[in-house]
Amino acid sequence: MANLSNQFAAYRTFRLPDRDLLNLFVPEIIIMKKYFLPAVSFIVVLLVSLQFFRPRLDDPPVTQDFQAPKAVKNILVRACYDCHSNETKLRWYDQVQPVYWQVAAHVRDGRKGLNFSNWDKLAPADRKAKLWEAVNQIEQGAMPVKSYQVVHPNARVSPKDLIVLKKYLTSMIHDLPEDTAKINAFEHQRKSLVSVDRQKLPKTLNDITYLPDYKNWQVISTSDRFDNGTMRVIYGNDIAVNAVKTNHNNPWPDGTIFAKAAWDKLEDRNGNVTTGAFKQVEYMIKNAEKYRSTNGWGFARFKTPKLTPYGKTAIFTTECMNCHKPMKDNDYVFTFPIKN
Amino acid sequence: MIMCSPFQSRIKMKLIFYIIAAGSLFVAGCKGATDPDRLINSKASLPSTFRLSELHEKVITSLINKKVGTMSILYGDEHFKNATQESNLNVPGNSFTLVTWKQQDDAHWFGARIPGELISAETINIGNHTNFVTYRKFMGKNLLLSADTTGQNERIHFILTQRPSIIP
Repeated sequence: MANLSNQFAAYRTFRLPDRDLLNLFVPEIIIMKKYFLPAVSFIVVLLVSLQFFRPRLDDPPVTQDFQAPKAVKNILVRACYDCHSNETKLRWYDQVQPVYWQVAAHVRDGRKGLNFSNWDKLAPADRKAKLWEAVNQIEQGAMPVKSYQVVHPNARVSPKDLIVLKKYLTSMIHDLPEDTAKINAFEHQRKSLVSVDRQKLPKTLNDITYLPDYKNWQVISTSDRFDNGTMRVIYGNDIAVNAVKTNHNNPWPDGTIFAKAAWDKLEDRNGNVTTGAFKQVEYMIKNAEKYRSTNGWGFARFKTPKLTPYGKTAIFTTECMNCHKPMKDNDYVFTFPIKN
Repeated sequence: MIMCSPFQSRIKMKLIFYIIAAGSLFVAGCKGATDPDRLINSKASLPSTFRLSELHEKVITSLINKKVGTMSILYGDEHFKNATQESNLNVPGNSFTLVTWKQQDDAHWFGARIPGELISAETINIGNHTNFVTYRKFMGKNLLLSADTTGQNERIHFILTQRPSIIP
């Protein structure tokens, strides 16, 4: 110990900054000599052997590639195609393990959520919905994924690119006044409406039962969805309304329930729009513990006046969460509530 | 045991400071939860003096006027569950409130418009026996009672001829 201190004293006679820094680490260097080399060798051996364990990542065939004007397509190919198509172009550094595991998982999840190479597998309405969702994810900064953007700066969507994408989307809207198909759908619903049997209320695969009482709740907002030709009313239960009144809306308290009802927009020649056929009612039920795996919210959707539960398997909620992800700083809620 | 001179510990302190500074910059880079106030649509909110929620009226339907860029909700004190029949809103004892907002773009969803500035609230009360209709219009952010009675009949007609939404 005394010997060591003497050595430090000798070092300390030099007061040059770099000497001081070296001086500072002398004890650490001595310790490192003993442990450093074996540790580094271990890590190197581990990294090299990891390279032999590789996740499987195929490029399945492109059944039908998404088509759009060149300017639009170029942006989407550059920003999205690595994970959202079967034309994934991996750089060498994407394929170094253990990073490759994460990259492969991102690509698999990305293709599941939206795949531009299987455009034919989507119904026309779903294609439109996916594009609007994609552009919204980009605008809210949720996509492209941040860690991916850091390594692939070319994938960044500039504000100018975003304008190109938005113009493309708005060019696809064709509002049709006095749309006979929509009028007929509305009249058909009105005539065939049956009262809901309260004994046999429908239930979603994540175990959420249709809540008929939402009609008696207060309105917290309304929304004119020109992207998909619907109009919506968002109701909140007493807990939700009280949270709005007292500004306790981020995070929303347990017990909060929102119900969002959607209708076709029926437009007359004077630009008056009223509600047409009932499309669906969607619920968000807050319970931080019970719905921990879905960010504290139970999601449910019941379609048409028949109230058909949405979702083919219980993991349909992944779709809900993906769409709500850009709102993570707002407790995953899109609506700006109104005080009544 | 490792001893440090005051000079050494100063450098160590400095290093610790830099590590903390870099750490806090990293944390600051990740946005935290949004202030609840910023999420309330105060522009579209109704003054508490109006007490709409205490009327316990239900949504009858919602409307958009594309030409002037407004959106409205028609509330009434009765459910119109039976949308199968031609519903007539003009029933003795009924009362209605039509709240109208200027539309604004939804900052959270490109593709949606939501209520912006509050324009008006119109109320209609139909007498229990007399069928006498009382119409009142409240204007602006504070929903002050308007003395202007022009166009009242058209407004009464407009409101009472709305078809209830299908709300299963």
